[in-house]
Amino acid sequence: MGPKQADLLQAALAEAENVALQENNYLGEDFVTEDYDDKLDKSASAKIADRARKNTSVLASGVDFRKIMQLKEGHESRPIWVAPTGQIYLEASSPYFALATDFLVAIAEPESRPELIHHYKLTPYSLYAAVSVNLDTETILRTLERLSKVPIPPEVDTFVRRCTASHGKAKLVLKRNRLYVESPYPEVLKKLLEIRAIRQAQDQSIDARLRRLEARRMGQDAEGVGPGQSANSVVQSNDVRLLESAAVQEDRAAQATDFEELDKLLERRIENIDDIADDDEEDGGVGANDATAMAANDGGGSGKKRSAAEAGMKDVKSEPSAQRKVLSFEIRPEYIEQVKEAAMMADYPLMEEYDFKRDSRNPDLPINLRASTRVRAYQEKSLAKMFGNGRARSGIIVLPCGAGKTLTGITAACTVKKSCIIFCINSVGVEQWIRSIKMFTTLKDEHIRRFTSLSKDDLHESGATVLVTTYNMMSYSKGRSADGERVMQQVKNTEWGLIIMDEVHVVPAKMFRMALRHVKSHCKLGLTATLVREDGLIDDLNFLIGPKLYEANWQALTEQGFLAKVLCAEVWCPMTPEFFEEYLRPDTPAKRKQLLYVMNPNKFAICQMLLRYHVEKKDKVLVFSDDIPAILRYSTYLRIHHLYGDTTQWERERLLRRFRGGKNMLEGEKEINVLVISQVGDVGIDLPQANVIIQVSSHFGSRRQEAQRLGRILRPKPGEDFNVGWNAFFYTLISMDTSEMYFSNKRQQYLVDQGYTFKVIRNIKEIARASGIPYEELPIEKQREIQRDLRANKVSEALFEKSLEIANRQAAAKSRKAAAGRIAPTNKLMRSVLRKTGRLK
Amino acid sequence: MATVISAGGGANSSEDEGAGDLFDYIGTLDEARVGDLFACRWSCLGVLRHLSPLAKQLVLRLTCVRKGVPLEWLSKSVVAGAQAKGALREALTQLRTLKVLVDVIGEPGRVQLHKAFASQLRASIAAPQISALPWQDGLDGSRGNDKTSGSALMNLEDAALRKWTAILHFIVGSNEYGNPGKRVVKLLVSMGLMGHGGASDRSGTAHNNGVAVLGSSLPQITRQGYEFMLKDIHEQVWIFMKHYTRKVGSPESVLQMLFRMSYCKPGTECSSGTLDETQRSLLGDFDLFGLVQIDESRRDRFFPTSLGVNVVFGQSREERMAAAARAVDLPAQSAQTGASDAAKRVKGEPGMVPMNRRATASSNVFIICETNFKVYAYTESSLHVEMLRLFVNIECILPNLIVAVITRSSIRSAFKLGITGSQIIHFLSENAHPLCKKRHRLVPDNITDQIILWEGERNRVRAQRGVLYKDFQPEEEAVHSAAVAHALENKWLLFQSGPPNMAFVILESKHDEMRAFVKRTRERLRNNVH
Repeated sequence: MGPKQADLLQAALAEAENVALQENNYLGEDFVTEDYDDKLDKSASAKIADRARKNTSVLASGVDFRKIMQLKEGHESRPIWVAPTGQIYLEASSPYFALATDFLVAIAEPESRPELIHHYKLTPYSLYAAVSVNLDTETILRTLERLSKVPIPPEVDTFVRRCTASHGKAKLVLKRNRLYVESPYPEVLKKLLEIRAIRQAQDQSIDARLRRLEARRMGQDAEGVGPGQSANSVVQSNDVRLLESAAVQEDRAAQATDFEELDKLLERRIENIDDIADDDEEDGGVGANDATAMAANDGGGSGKKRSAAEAGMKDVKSEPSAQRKVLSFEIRPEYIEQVKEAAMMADYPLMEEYDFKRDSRNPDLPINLRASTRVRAYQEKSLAKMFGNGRARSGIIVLPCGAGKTLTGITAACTVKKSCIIFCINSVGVEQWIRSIKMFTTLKDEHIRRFTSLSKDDLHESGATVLVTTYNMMSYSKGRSADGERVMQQVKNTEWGLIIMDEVHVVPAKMFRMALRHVKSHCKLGLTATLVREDGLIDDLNFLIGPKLYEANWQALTEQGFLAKVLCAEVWCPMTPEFFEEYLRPDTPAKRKQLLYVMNPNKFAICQMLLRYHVEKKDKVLVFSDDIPAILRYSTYLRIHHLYGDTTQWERERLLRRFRGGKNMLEGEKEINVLVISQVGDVGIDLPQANVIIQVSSHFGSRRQEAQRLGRILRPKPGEDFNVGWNAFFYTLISMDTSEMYFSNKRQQYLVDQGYTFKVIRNIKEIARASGIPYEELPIEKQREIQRDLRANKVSEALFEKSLEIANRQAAAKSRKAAAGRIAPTNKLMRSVLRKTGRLK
Repeated sequence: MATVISAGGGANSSEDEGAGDLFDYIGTLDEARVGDLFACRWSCLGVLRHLSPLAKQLVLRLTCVRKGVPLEWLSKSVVAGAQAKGALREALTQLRTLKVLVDVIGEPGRVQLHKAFASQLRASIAAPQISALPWQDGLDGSRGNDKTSGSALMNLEDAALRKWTAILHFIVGSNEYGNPGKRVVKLLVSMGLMGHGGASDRSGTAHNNGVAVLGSSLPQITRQGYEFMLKDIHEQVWIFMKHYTRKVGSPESVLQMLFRMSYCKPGTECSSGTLDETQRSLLGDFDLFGLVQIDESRRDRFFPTSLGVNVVFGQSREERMAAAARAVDLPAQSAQTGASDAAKRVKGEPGMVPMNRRATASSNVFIICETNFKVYAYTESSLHVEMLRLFVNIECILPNLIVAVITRSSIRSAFKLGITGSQIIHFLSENAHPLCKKRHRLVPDNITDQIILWEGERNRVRAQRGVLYKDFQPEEEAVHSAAVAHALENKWLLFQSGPPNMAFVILESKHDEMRAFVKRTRERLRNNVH
């Protein structure tokens, strides 16, 4: 990472905690997050993508497979087709639908799940995830074969074998705050150690190990030394010395031309490790049975009921037998990513599992779900994937917004019952998590600690703490206060049982890396609603956190009443002639064009009409806009409160309180029903009362933003009857014949694949008139005034133009090089310009 | 939105003669031709079979009444009530349109059955055993050559379907089945389904729809051809037949032949000895289309195929849906009966089931259209691939499933070929998978809306011819602005651009007047200066 980039990163991090993260990330999505990715990151994801491509290349391309495939006997009753391209189509009407769904979610990526036919896709990552929930190659292929109407194409067979054969053979375990790579297969460890990147990361040379072994024999086991700092630093400095000698030896080994010699050397090394490792053996082969029971844990749920799919998969070879010796070698924590990446490249992705039940070293956290807390079936199911074999696995759980991600995370913490650190995206999120923990669990307040820019609590004396913090606090590296530094040291010295990472999709990989470097944990759980990014960086999460363990089906949850039934409408607002003329002019700058369609006077009028209608119905309405000038204008013209990046924390909380209304308000505060809000409202702000969204402007073609915004109104309101049509409304106002229409289509894609439909309303004026809702055009003077203001804003436009030009040029060069599809423009200049022009705060 | 669709559907059927089936056609025949038609027993039976249940009742009551009866008698035979009255009115209309029921001349208020029609019915009732099947005269009765069972029938049906499919393939330009022969090609061209110069001339845009074009010398599909392709097989055959009825001198003999054929059993041996001249030449063409198969060894013997047998009565939509359910072996059903039953069905009737499935599966396509613009078509026929390709992007073709997606560009390319949005929607809903019946629309609303919106996009821009005035000298700004003001006043102005460009566009038709005006203004201003 060059010094310039470092500065830039620093600057980015120094920005106000709340806004910076969110707003940068919305840029980061359509735009490559260049600033955040240093060279290592880039090459890592690129290499992994290459690897994935290479594996994927065994799959067939092409369209017509009739000549090479035939239907099987009894194909009518089988529910799926497996195409040689790795695509899988599932008949939702099949009696085996539920079983097939459970299986396919485990092994493949859901592409779209509308009503009758679901589309899945086999990917290297999805298969990696399958292996990590203990499905083995043969089971996957056998089950596919059984379900499929057509014989499994040889391409798919090869692909599955290639992606799974070596997976699940090696694990990354944290013991006594040290990291080990362990495996029951000596040949696997040998292969891993042949990789230079892993050899580099290996903690000690053979000599050092032997010395330690000796030391242990002499009764000076390191175990006796507490986790105190002084002892640690001694060990560390010792290690450094040892490492140097190791490095010399590595070089020598690498230079050894005689491969046999190298082989012998490695052999010997593993044998030695073997001796050390024997006290680490505890592979119990815990069946999948108690996993579900565990997920149900204190929740009082019905976790004992095993789904058909799990029953069907019971012939999975779960764990290597207890007799088998587990070998391991230690690696240095700072090399953890390098090792994980290298292992992934070698097709031996390291699984991270935590045998928390046998962990007696770390203090237990007295956390239990309250008797009144209800864990829903799908939450249990997702946790069953996490605790599948009685241990905790790292990975990501994808649940729609409003479906109870927080409770899922908390239940996981209640299952592990060890120290837990929760990363939120901002301090509002921190407060929400703490509120939820208090609400759902019996954990005493003294165990709950905050670490934010405002409060820096020490960890609990017993060592068992739930620490709620933000990504920024953890990745911030310069100029901490004394308090901050002290807490940070405590965090670094703690062996965390579980990291929960909220809204995992918005955080740049770089921040993760920094945060994860500081926090050593046994297990990581990522939570998100929308695992999509326009920049394709989602793949990085696969090796930073772990595979996707579970993804819920939005439509199914809606049908079961866990999500509100949302009517999604795209309202077409004709441009006024004056605005449209200016929009069409070739000499109108791009930025002004954008403002022209956002500030289209007809949009104002339609927005006002919708607001009146819904406020009358006692609905709670959020008006979303990405453009700050537009927010201000909507706010003044429609006389509604606004909330955006510049709004002070105090004012922000007051507005949210007033919007929530009722008991949430302080004395003397008046309830408000409408709020115009910027991207800060997209993620993390929990406003369960809202049930109408009017989106007047948005971030280009961001699928994620669309889904996140929809998520704001997905939480069903208590006491509502689910059989009576729509209970939430999501309007997007689109200026006709502008590029908004194009973006709008793109934005909806993710939700459309989840089975949502967007109704296009072309003639809302007539509809309003017909149903007697007053509709007022924006006065002509107002229209002119808006247009004048838009024109006046010339300086920023020029800058914007320039940055756009540069960015486009870069993107073009990039796409020429990578030919990797659509890369949207960004660069530092762009960012700074956006900041100046008020699009980014 | 529904009203829009249906209105569009009505407006878009470009050939009015394209609408209507065989019985509508009979309604248009004059008295003499109907008389000729009813001279054939099979035609009468066919018409009877087509009638609504109440109309059938009335006909049977009147069959043996040789004199006219008062119209009220018929009313009395129906129970009281508005519903029954409506049914009676409909039945009478149907009977009159088909000229089965006629007014007795000179006796107002009295009606009777068409004489020829009634006597044919009486004859059938009196002697049902006489030639239970048409065209049996001259056969020795041993029926040794029948192909009504087993593999012979299957071969016959296969060959027939292949012929028909080959024609359809040829129309869409796929060369999978080769050239169907000169005569067929000529016929296709004369029907306007194909033409030299093809659709490109008609739609005004070059077309290259990914369809393999066989060669420039061969005709290409026309706009009507595309419409034709999106219809179901029985409608298609009828379009051919209608062409014949227009071409030949005696349409009734074509109709007679079709009616007769509809009473045949597929695969029975028939003799062409009793055919008239027109019919004999038709027979040759029918063989080309696969409606019949002429015996190779004895040219005066032929075998009707189920394609031919079904021309007249075809399959109603309900029948098609039912057949669809059988053919795809609905998972919903197997859910009720259990998978083992499904297996039993397959194993239990080894000969029948696969053949039925084959016959239906290859002529029908069952389409699931999802809200995310994905189209899943259950079919084994490559023809359906070609048909769908007209308006979707095909992503994957599996043995019995086509996976495709509707995109703006795929729909627009269909529009360019002259296919309309309502035709596409009609095709999707006509061939909707039985499972789609459970939801409230066969094709999701957002898809139909979007297709119509895309269609609407194409009609938003209106072209007007204009003349550009430009290159005014800087000192002529006054001339420019006066001219613009003048044009604006008279509503001629199409576009204007102020300084520094100083250009404007006016309607072409007003060019002369504007030129004069500019000249005048220029002179006036110059005079003022001097």
